[in-house]
Amino acid sequence: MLKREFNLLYKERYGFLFVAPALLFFALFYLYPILDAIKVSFYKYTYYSSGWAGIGNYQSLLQDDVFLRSVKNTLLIVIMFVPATLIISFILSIFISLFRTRLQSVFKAVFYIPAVTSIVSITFMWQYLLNYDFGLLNFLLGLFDIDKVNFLSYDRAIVTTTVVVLTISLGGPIVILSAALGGIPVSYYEAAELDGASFWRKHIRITLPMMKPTILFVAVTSTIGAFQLFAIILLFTAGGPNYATTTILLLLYQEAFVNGDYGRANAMAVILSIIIVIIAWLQFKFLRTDIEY
Amino acid sequence: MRRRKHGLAYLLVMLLVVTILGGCGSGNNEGTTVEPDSSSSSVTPSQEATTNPEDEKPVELVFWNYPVWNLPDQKPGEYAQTLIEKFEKKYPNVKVKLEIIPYDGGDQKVNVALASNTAPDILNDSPGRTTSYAKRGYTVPLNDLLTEEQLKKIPQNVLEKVTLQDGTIFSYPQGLGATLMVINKSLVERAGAADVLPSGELRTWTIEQFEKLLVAVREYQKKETPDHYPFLMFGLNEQGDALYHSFMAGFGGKRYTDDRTQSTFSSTENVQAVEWFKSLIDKQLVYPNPETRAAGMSNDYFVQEKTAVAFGGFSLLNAVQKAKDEGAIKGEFEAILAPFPSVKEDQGVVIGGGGQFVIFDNGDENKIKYAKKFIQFAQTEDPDFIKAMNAFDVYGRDTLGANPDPEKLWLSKLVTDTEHIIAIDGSYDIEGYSQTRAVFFPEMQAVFIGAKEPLQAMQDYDEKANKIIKDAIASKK
Repeated sequence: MLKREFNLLYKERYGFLFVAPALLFFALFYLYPILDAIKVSFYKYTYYSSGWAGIGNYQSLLQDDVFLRSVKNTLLIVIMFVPATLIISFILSIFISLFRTRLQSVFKAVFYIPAVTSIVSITFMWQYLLNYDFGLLNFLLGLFDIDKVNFLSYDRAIVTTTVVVLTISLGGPIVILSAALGGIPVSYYEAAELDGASFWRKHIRITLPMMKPTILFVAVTSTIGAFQLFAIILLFTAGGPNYATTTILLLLYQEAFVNGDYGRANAMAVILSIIIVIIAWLQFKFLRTDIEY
Repeated sequence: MRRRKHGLAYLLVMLLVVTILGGCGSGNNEGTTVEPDSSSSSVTPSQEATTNPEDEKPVELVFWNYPVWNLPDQKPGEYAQTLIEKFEKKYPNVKVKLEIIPYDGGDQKVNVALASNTAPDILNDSPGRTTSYAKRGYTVPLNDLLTEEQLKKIPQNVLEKVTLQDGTIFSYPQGLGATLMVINKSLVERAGAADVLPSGELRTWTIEQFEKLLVAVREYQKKETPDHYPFLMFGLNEQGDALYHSFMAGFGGKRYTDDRTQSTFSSTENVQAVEWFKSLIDKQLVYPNPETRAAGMSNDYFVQEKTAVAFGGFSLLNAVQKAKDEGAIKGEFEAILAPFPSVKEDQGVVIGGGGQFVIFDNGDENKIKYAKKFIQFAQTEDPDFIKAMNAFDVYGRDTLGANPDPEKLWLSKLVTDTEHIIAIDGSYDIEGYSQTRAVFFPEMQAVFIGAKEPLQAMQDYDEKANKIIKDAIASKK
């Protein structure tokens, strides 16, 4: 049995040599850190010392109200963010496709600008827009005699933060969905038109099924992106008020780089990864039907 | 085929996931106790005087500074480069590489650098943070840089801040200063509340007097600028938590037990202070929603005349002056300093400052030697250094000149009066102090939004802080 494997290795040796640099890179910079992170998650590992902790870090996390709150907040963001990203970017890419090619590029570039802009600048801009005392949004509300709104209050902070993140994150999905949209043969739509299909019916019956693989990709990457939200929350609310916007990654950062407890931080990373894998697996399971790559 | 494609897709997902885990891998020192050599690698004065061929070797020092220090015509942080140029002129074989690090996450950046052996040679930061580095043995003792004569001149409270319990001086004592309150005197006078302004030689005042000032200014603002409030409290993150600590001290509260192992934020006096903060919000004497406001907003609003009182010091006075010079402030705006109020009429509270430079032990004797020369050069050979720090000389030398600024002259007396002025202890020596800061503001936020009563919030804080302190002490053992 083993001989057969060696024979295969020998036979395909040049092929393996070609992929060796990439494999080495993957092993060094991805595989090793993952395995090391998993290992450290079973240690009490601080600035001062380290020692075997068994499942102690996991136990303490599952009994920690703040961590459980951060899991809830993260899931809430994902639940709001992913469907909104899919629906808005899908609709916008359909609208963009109605314009001439040159104008399409302009729109796509405009939507993509936030993705290449400094997150710090964007956060400051939003802080100004949402400022309770002198912000533009409250000023506009004032013009209609509407009372000022504290957009970052305990009850609203998570929704506001998700909306802000949404405005920044739409560029990528729009570009990807537009590209997929351009790949659908025009003849399908022409045939549907002959059958008397309306504008939305064409897109629901043709565009949506044809773009399922791309939508799945956007769904999975958006989910992972939502789970990894960090910088904007740190700058925007620092996880407050009273942990209302504390996410797993923010807590992970605090645990590692403020508290210096790398064991607990790595345990959080492992839990976060498990959650992401489960959700991504569910997305594959429910969206994979009819997928054609 | 189809299964293989799905397998490929799962692999892609895994690749995306690993980026999260990848960022959390440990360093190379896994499995060992991180205890860098803290033994003194100092150079005695006699060694310094000897010409050593080593002196001629090119040396590159890395110096991390926050955006601080500026002469009146410079931007914040600009003076550091001026100092380096002067030093490099005297020591041509030394190249000092300056890196300005941001306040946000600065401590974390240093901690990561220390853990990964990429720390700078010199760091300029408050003992509030550097004490923690020194306790873990990362810094070089600086005792040899100070003569007996100098040590006698340094105020005891400053010396305590820069000295570990074993007598090791880990941070160079320099720049005697204080953070206190800044008042827009002109606005208070316009509000007809000049009589409640702090007066007397040390401008000490009571909490009641402070609140009367807020009430008077608020009444005035309601007519003139209804969107403005006299004071801005903040609680977005731990930055500026000393504001609350100072008022707690004004109420007579202590934050830690005498043996420095237990948090006492839930003491009667401290809880009274927190109840009072909440009452200021309820009475609309401060801007609403402090839980959403960052400390930096306080300075901005003060300079823009949107508040009458702020938390600050010379840098805020300078910012007001700059705004006047640039024409941003058109009307009358006289800003004065005052200590934090207290329940006692003749007692004030300030947040004392002093001590900044630390040298990290990066294992290179020559670098340590020149790093020491650098900090001594700044303190003893460059007359602009203290001016750029906006502070006073800890050794009592006159830095005010022939025509001193009246506020600076007043403050120089205030910071040395230990009888009437409480310089709150930074609690820097508390084990796990920086972690305790991170759990303080969520409790304050809970009070601000009405989710917890002050007593409950402070009890919860004590519970969390005491666990952090206990764990920090245990992990050091």
